[in-house]
Amino acid sequence: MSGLLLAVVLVPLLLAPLAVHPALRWLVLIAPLPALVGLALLPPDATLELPWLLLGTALGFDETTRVFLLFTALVWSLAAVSVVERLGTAPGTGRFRLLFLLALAGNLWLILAREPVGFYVGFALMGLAAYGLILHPGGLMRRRAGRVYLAMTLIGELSLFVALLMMARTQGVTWSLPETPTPDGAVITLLLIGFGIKAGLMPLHPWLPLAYSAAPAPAAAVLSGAMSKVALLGWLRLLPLGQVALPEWGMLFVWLGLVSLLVALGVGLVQTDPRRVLAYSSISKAGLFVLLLGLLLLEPALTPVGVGALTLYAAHHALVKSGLFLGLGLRDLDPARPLVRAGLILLALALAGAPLTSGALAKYVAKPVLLSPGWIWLDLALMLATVATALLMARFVWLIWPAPGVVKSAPTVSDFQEPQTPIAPRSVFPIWSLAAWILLLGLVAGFPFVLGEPSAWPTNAGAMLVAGLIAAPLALAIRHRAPGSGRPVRQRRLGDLVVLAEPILTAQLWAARALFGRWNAMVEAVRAHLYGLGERVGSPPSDPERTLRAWPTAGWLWLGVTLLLLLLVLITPSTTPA
Amino acid sequence: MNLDPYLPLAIVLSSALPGVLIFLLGEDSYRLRTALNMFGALLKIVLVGWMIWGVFHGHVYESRLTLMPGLELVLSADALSVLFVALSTVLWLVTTIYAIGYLEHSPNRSRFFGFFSLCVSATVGIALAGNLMTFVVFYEILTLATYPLVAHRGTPDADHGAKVYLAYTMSGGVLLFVGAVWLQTLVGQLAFTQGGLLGAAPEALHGQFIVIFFLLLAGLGVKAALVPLHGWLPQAMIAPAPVSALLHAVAVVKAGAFGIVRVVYDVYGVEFAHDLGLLTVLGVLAATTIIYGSIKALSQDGLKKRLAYSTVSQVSYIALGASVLGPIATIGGLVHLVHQGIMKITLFFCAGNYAETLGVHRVSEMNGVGRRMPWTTLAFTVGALGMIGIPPVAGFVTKWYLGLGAASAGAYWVIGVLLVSSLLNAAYFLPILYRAWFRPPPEHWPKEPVLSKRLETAPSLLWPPVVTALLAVIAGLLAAAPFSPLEWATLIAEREYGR
Repeated sequence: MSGLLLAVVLVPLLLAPLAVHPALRWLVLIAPLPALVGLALLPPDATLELPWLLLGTALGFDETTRVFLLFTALVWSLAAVSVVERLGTAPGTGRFRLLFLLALAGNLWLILAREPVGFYVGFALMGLAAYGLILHPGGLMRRRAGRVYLAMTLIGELSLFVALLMMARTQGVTWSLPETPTPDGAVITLLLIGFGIKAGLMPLHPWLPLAYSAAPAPAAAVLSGAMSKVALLGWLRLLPLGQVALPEWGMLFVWLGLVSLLVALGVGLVQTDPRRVLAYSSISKAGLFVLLLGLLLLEPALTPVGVGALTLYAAHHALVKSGLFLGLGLRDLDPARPLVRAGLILLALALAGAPLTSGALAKYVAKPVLLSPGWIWLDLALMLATVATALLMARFVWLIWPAPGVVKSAPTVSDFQEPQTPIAPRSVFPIWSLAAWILLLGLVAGFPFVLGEPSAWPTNAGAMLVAGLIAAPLALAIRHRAPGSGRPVRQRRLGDLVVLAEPILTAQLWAARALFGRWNAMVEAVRAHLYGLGERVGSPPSDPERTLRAWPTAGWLWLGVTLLLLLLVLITPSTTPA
Repeated sequence: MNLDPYLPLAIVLSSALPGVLIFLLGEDSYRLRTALNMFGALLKIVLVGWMIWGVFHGHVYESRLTLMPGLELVLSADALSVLFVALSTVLWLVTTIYAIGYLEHSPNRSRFFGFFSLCVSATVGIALAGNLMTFVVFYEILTLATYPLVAHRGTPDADHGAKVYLAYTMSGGVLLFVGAVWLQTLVGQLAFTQGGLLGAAPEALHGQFIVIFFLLLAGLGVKAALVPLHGWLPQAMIAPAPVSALLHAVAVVKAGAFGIVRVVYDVYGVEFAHDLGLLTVLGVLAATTIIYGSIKALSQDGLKKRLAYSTVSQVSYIALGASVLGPIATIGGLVHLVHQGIMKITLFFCAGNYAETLGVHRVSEMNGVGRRMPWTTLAFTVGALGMIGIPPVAGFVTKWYLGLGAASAGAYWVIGVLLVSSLLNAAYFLPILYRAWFRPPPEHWPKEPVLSKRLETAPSLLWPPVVTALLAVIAGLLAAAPFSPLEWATLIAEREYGR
């Protein structure tokens, strides 16, 4: 019976080469099913020893694993419908399906792995295969996104590799995962870097907005919903949670998390591409996860509550975020469809943590940990973050709303995004993808009522009210401005650290050329590439909220909103029940 | 009758005799030559299988020929020699099949296959050598048997490459010989002994031991392509693809690395070498070579040249493993002897396939090659990912053990070397994979003869890389299974460290 655990990993691996053939593309739908079957049939502590595999490995369930496996398998299954129906049989989709299934196998393997080598194998397989998902169906912007992703992923994998080596040093060749040895400072740093890249923790995030906005909808859905959650699982597995208190590291985590949480929200607010808005929201959530981990490192006694809260939070975020990306994919086909728009708004509300949504429940469960230190500044910052998240989602809804007077869906597509060409003709709406998406909407909508008690439902009501009060006048003000009346827009965004790094990279290439003399065609190509980029960054299309996007305006707005919030919070000491 | 004493000799002769017979055959006797080749290769596999079983159960196999008092040729089998013998035997079979397909219409095939067999016999002799003098003898035979293979094409370039090869390896051979004789005058006949035998010698000799180590290392380092003695290897790239494959994976380069392992573990003894400070020297040399080779590989456009510099870098992992004290690092180095062999032979087979099928010799010509030759490119991908050390390909197992061994011994700089090397490997292999799989193919390939109607290339060219790529995955995926290279390397390490 526990052989089913092996099937969970093996079935996607074996189906991967077969699914390359266009006629067998439906196999993609089957691949995630063994995971769901396994969850239904196997006992909660099923394990399978495989002493001959790798360096001697084992697969198995525990509490956390089951939740991660459930939402991961769900996200992949629903994305698979899109892969089969929407990507269809266009050129390059065979390769896409192959890599999709390989990444799936890696993702499931690392969740089930009971020892670090198996975990690492799944992690590496998943990370590399995802490169091909971002690249599909080609084009300059995607190649660039893919390159940045690949470089950072490799660095992340190597950091994790060294961290595991240093942990294994005292354990023999490998060890059983729940009994993790207490790591030293170097190991924690490496874990922070290795998983921080995967999660998109600032400042390790530059790949994330690029990749999320470049990848096709199903790929972005699994990247954000399933693959980036792996980082959290890794931290839960490998950090010494509940064993010892590490006050210095705890504080570092808290601050890193807090910076990521708040800065990403601010940067997200000035984005023009809804995918990028979602990307920055993911970065801010990564910050929240790290913040929570930091609080657990400070206070080990909270670990059982905290781990449960983090797992629940991950499940909520995975479903909602992948739903948003899949929904954006549907919206690109037909922006006017009210059902899609309504669904996206529901998901945006859930992500913002509005009352009666999964986001509110997640927040409610995490609250005991968040309030545990009792620092007033932390409460203030969290309050600010909640309001800013709501504003970010308002911004998202604004961006997906068809602009008046603009016929096509153009205004929301970012200035250097190549147009997402609809693969199916407009008349044939992908009905199965829509059905799968509605199923996901149902899951998200039912989430707080199945899992939470009534006392959790009104969480965040105060914050939402504040956000509404801020957003409404702003929206009105912008509506009344004529398009094109602002100062010229800065074309490069703060979030794109990569853009800033490119001149440095070019300079390095020149220096290397001088040093090594002969230089090969590969590097020539890269250089040509980099120079080509400059020409591709054209001027953005004009649209009504252009002035808001301009940096000076946005910066002042952000500052103003922050001050306003602080004032509000000081006047009404806390809207969060202690 | 007890056949045990004849087994090592039989293993050497199983390729040497067919080789001699092949010289006598006419150019046209294609069938007889192929039959002889395959007979030798298969017989050798059976004999080696027998020997593996015996050594695992503690049997002693020893063939001994006394030339004069104090000078004996000894062939004997211990766990370490069996590792190398098994590698050469399996890869010889695969390479022979490949070479038959590769050289189908070229001249001088009898000469080629004759020397090819002799080359493998010499390698097996090196593996089974029971003392330092026997080792030196076979080492020299290998040098001479390989020269005609490198020069095979007979073009000016080939002549030049072969001359450079001969100049380097003969000089190295002299140093090795001087070192071996000097050592023998000090301590008498040197049978390879697990745990080493110089540690017991009087302390007055230690100074001379250090000098001798440098002589031996210089002699072996030429073949193992340690920087700065690696100059011949990229030049020898001119040889036909099967020769390059054998040179890089099994015969010449590996013989040098194997020699270093023998000297460190079974002549000096790893603990004694550590006490003399010799391991540090070896480690620094190996680390330099690893980084230097990778950097040079980055700037090569010729596919085979890039692979050649990659060999320079990867073979030194073996020496790096030997330079760190402790059983885990030892396992990492030893297992790479096998892992590097299967992965690199795959890459060279693929490079040969691209050249023969499409006329593609350069990395810059490889756009879209994955669409035209998916199976070959798949094999290449496995090999390349393995070189970077990405699981579950075998290279990852090596890296895990080397890194773990270094961490256990507190030699953190080794981890740094591994990291830099991995990044550099990624930097010169991943662009190739990107070109092959994600770029559109050109309208016409440089040269495209019809080799097969159904398959992407001739079957005898296609199957060898696919099989070796599969072996590379299996060696990594089933690393903990019985009789895997890793388990065997663990057995050797246990015997070396006397546990």
